[in-house]
Parts: sequence; C-alpha cells; structure tokens
Amino acid sequence: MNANNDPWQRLASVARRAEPAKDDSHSDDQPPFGMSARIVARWKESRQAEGEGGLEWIYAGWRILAVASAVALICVALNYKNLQPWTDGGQDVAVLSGVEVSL
Amino acid sequence: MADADFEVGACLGRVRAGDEDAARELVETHYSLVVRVVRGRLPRAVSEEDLIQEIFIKMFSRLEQYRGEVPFSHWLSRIAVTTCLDHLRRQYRRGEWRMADLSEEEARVIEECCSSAAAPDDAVDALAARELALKLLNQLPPKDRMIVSMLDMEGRSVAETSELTGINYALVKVRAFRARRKLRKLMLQWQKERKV
Repeated sequence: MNANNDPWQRLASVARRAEPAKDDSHSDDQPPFGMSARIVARWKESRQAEGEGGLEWIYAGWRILAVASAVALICVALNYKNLQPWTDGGQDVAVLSGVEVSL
Repeated sequence: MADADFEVGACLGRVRAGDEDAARELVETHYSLVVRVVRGRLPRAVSEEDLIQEIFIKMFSRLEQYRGEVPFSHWLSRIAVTTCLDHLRRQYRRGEWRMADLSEEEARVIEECCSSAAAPDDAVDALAARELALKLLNQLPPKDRMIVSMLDMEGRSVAETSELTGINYALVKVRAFRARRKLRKLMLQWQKERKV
C-alpha cells in the first residue's frame, strides 16, 4: 500500500509532530537531583553483595572440606581392623562390601 | 548525548577499579541517551526513573563484558532497549480496544487518517494522534511494537533498528510489514465500528 494511502503511516506522520510527554521538573540533559548518587549507591551495594557472596563460597568450601576430612579420619579409625581384609587381595570387593554392610 | 570531550575508555577504567566519582560521571554523561531510548517505549506500570535506574545498574553489572568493539553509547542503548523490551513482555496483555474507548479527538483522528480523500489536516490534534498511535502500538506483541515504534514514530532506519534491538535486518522488515498490516486492519475496524 502506498504510504500516502496507508492510514497507519498517515497517523504516524501526524503523531511525530507531537513531542512525547516529558517531566518538566528537570532537564533531559542531566539526571534529576540525587539520581546518579542513588544509582551509584545501588551499584556499590551490589558490588559489596557480590564480594560477600564470593567470600561466603570460600568459607563454605573450607567448612565442607574440614567436615569431610574429620568424617574420613573417624571412619578410618573405627574401621582400622575391618580394613585389614582389604589388603588381603583376591575377593576384595565382596569382603569390602561385607565390611560395609556389617558397619 | 555523551560529551565529545568525555573520555569513555579512561572513565570505564576508573569505574572498573571501583571509583564512585567516575561511575557518577558515567551516569550523568549518558543520562540523556538513556532517557531518549526509554521515553516512547515506557511500559505503563513502570516509572521512567525506575526504568532508567535499572538500565544503569545493568550497565554497571555488565561492564566487564564490554570489550570496546562497538561505541559505548551503542552498547548502552542496546541494554536500554532490551530492558524496555523485557518490561513490555512482562506486562503484555492483548487488551481489546473498541472505538467507544477512544476520546472524541482520537476518533476524529482515525476518521481523518482512514479517509483517503486528503492528507490529514494540520488541525488534527497531534497529541491525540500520538495517544492513538500509542494505543494502537499497545495492541502489538512487544517486539513488533518496539520495531514499528522505532521505524515509524522515531524515524530510525531499518539498520539502526536492527542494531539496537539485536533482531536480524531482514526480520525487522518482515515484522514491520506484518505489524503495519495489523495496525491498518485495526484502524479500519475501529472506523467501521464508529460508522455502525
């Protein structure tokens, strides 16, 4: 359809003459008072949260590692004798699974 | 508009190092650019200030991804456009508009635009035309609305629209064609309703 006969194009061409509604309380060249400070404050908060989030992961990792090591040590200590057949070769899997079941 | 004298690269370096003054400077220099993108495609339920803040926060959080391959203003405009698009998608509901819902001025504008006898009269209220155009655009899916609004309301080129929205050049043309057809149909339907 020719643009001149197209109702939408005719409407759009008239609509373009109108300026979009704007807030007269401040200029478009500069943010309203305090806005950039608020944005920067939010950015700072999010950076801090990210930093703390990173540290939390490190702490959590260390905690998991410590607990796992302690559990492993306890298991080795409790099962020291039962672990002997393990070194006996041969039917290791069966023996070992037997030991585990007996635990 | 970003100042010609403004050294984006140097400022970004300082922002990445955590300099708050540089961050404030970056916001103030690019504020007008973001306002221009936001205005005209502002979702109804969101305030302009909230949306602008969200765009700048996104800008800061993605700053590490900016490699300088495109001008910073293009990169930021793209963030602004996609943020608006996300909001439009969230609030998009295909609301049925009827001729009876339009104001007298808007109904008159439709009449004048649909009658092929003459070009729209200068007396036609441009503000009413703008309101009507926005109501019509609201009937389109968010991506189509964004494309037609950039092409027909802001007078941007297809290439520019494609770059800003990240939609393929050919697809922009196809979507614009279909969306305009839908708008025409809607206008004619509203006009018909008025006559009945």
